[in-house]
Amino acid sequence: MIEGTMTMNDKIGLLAVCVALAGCGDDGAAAEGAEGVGGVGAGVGQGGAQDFGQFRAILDAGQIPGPDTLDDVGFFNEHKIELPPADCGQSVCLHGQLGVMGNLITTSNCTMVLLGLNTPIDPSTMQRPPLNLAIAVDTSGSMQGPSIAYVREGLLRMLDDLRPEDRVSLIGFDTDATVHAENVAGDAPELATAIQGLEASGNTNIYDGLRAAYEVVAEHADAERQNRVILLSDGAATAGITSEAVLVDMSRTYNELGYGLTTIGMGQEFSPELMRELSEAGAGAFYFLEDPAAVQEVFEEEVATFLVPLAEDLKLDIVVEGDYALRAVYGTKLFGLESNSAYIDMPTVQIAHRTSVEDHAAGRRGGGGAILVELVPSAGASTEAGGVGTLAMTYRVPGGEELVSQEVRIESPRPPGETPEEGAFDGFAVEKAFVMLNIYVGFDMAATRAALNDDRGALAVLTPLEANVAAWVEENPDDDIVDDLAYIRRFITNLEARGALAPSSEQRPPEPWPQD
Amino acid sequence: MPTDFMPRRALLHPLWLGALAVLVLNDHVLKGSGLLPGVVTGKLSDFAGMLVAPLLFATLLCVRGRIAWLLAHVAVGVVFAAIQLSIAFADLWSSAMGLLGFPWVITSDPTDLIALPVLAASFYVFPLAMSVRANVRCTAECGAALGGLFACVATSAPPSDAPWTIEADVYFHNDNDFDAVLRIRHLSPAAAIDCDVVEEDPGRLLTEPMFGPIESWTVWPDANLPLAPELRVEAECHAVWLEADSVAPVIVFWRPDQVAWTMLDGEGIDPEAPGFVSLAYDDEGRGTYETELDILFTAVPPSGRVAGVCAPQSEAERVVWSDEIPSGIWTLGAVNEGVDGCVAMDLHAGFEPESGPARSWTLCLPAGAFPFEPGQRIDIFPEYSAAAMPGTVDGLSISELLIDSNATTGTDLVVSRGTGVAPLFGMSATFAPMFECDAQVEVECGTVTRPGTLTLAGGGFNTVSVGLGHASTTDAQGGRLDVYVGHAEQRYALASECAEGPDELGTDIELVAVHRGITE
Repeated sequence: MIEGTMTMNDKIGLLAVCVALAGCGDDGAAAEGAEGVGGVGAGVGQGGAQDFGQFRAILDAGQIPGPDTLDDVGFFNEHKIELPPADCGQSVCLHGQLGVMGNLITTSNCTMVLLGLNTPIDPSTMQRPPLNLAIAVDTSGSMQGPSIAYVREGLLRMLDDLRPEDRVSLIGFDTDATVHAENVAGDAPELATAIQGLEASGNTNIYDGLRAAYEVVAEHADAERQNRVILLSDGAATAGITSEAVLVDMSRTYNELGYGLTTIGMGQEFSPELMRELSEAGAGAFYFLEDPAAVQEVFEEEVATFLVPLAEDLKLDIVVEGDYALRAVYGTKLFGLESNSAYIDMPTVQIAHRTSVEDHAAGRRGGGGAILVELVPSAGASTEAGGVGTLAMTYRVPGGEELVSQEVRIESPRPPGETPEEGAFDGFAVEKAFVMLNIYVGFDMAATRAALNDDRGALAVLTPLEANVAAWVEENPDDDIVDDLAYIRRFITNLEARGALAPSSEQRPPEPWPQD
Repeated sequence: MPTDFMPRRALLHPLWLGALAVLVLNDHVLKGSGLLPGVVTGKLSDFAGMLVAPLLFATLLCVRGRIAWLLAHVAVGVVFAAIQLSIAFADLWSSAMGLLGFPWVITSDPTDLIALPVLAASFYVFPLAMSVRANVRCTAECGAALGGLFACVATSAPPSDAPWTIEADVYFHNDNDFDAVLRIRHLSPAAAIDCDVVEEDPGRLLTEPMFGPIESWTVWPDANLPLAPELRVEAECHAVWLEADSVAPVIVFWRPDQVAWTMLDGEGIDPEAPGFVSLAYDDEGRGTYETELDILFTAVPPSGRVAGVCAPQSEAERVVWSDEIPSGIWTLGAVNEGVDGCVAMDLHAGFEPESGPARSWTLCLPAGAFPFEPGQRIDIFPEYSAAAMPGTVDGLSISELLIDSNATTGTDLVVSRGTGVAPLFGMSATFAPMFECDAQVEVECGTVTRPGTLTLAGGGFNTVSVGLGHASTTDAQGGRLDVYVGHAEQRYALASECAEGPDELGTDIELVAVHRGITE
């Protein structure tokens, strides 16, 4: 049961004014009066990893991915969670749903609260503001061959999404940084020429490349434009200032000045940690390019929609009542835990381009993801139904100082720890999010075990997961989960192909949440 | 040639017979006897096996010719390597041998691959004995082959057939009637810990980055497994990170004087050996650890919530520079201080700004600390001389070179980072930890720290104390000294391959001092 209150009036922000009126004023889907089918409002993305492309690419290549190639934020962002109508009257609406179910690996009790954000704005009607964009491209020796060709192809494709009023700069960096084009129009021939002229050699001086890009954007900063940097690289810093802490701090500092950062990684040897941290500090997205086709998808997501902030300084406070203990938060890196509460601070949130589960012709990126809060019944919890907790959100309207607040209270119709065999969910959104979380945790457990050569242990996780997810999909057809199921099966196939023994009959599947 | 190349003829070669004897003796007498350290008996069979197995294999297959001889070695090497690198393959091999009535007890240990080069000795030495023709040797050769076959397939029989012993102080016990998969992480070789401080709260102060690679073990029902590192290392304390299915991670932390090393049965809890950590699963599959000693601690994830003066200090505040220090005399060209305090500068060699291409160099300091301007002549010098505070110091100084002979005042900058403090205008430095702060854990690398205060005195300056941040003082001639401290911490646990700063425990001090006044 959910109750919502709005404590301040909202005005669509300066940038959101740029969207078509039809998208802002009439969220037609809301009139359907039901969540789920049809897609009611677009999702809201929080930045950070936007995909699990590297994990997918490794499985597609018949290999076994390591646990460091998977990230909950990226995995969730490839899922479109269809929330109730975005009818809060504001540009960002907060939803909370409670779910109780046996997990999909061992069936032990699991209690989750979904925090969902959506917007009444239709991304297909958006008119983005003009760009002041600097693109920093890694042209070090490791990019020789297919990588630099991917980048050239991707940037040339991106030109189709740029407009004459956009201003674009191109910086290449290897041992040093070089500005190849500065503040030229989006359709300027010299931009295409500069892109085609990118060649790879030397070391990787990410610091100089990133700093040069930020400085070019800052020099041409314009409040009427989106001032942003895109960084493309396939590896770690090897020249110049190599301290990752300093790099991330620079990104954070420029973000505080209003210049965002999006990072794009590529290559099977790619280490995602630095690029992920840079994007999180820079209030931007992190993508992985698994093949040239992904280039178009990424740039479409990035340029067409993700550059428009819906809210700034968005803060979520989660306070859990005494019958439950707050155990963990999934789906964001921007959180902190206290005794029985959590806080989430997001520098900005943006619109996610997928409008429905079926909207994945160009790939699954842009779902918007979700945030899940794991709860466990407290010792001595009440045997009565009652309150679970409260979600509170505040954010600043972009381009102004106005603050907006919303609050959602979560209540449970059953006592803490009571788990109906078929599960109990406030809505389909939390049920799908629950399945998504189980798949993520299963992938993580299997990848961790496989990395230790414990392929049998990995199969002990994936085998029951595959059966339970298949059974769920049978009753709840969902394209995202169907695709996840295909990757569970691919993981199993790859493990078997390298000689994994089937789990013994006496081998129990491991608990995904043993600390509960 | 083929008739001169009969592997069975080498079965009486002294090297092969010697290796066979070592294999039998080691597997059936020495292992678990305590006569030799486990690390020795563990490797001895691998080295001997690399001599025994290829020739035996070639004999059984009636190999003729050098190519087949080579392939026999390759086959042995591949199987051996696969066993050591893949638990799945080791299980498969063990099962296959079990079907033959000789189940192997195998542990995957990549360090055993050190025995692989012995295959080369086998490949080159034994063919020398293969062309000796003497029919009377046939019976002896057949006997040797049978002995070798027995030694190879019956190596290290499983516990049900042959009870074994282990040497341990603290050990894991599988208190179930089925195999338990245990994932063990010993302290990383790059980790250093102050046992006295960490002992106060091991579950909170020792976090994952402090531990090394995971070893995965399948432990038989009722079996025991030593938890100390394989080498019985001398250490003030030991710590092990334990993970198993369906039970939350724990840290086992103990001091050598808490429990003695002893020989104990490989199965069952020995009442004379109290250092057990047993794992039992209930009917619902949930695991629980038990121990009689105060050595088991729940692993607590770092909260990352500490704020204020007691919080771990930011890695981003460290003093860093690009590439090597450009030692020498330079004229400053363009100077560009970024929003992050990093100063990108062009350096022209010598006194002539236009002479030759500029060298680019970046120096990251606390914001506003860089005192020089374009056009100034400067002398950059790495600091190696007597320090203001003893310790390992890495640093540099930059001094303004006065061109005007009448000028008496100038600017000097000292950058210091390490466990001590670089020479600092004749001052001495002392560091005092802030004991009112609890030791805190830095999330990224698990470094355990407590902040402190640096006091600078002498050298004609008024004494000044500074924690994290900026302070200034003056000297008797009206000069001014600004001190910017980016790090002033005492470190009690450190994973040096992850954490930035000094590679040893102790103080971690990074500062920049700028003196404007009369120059020497």
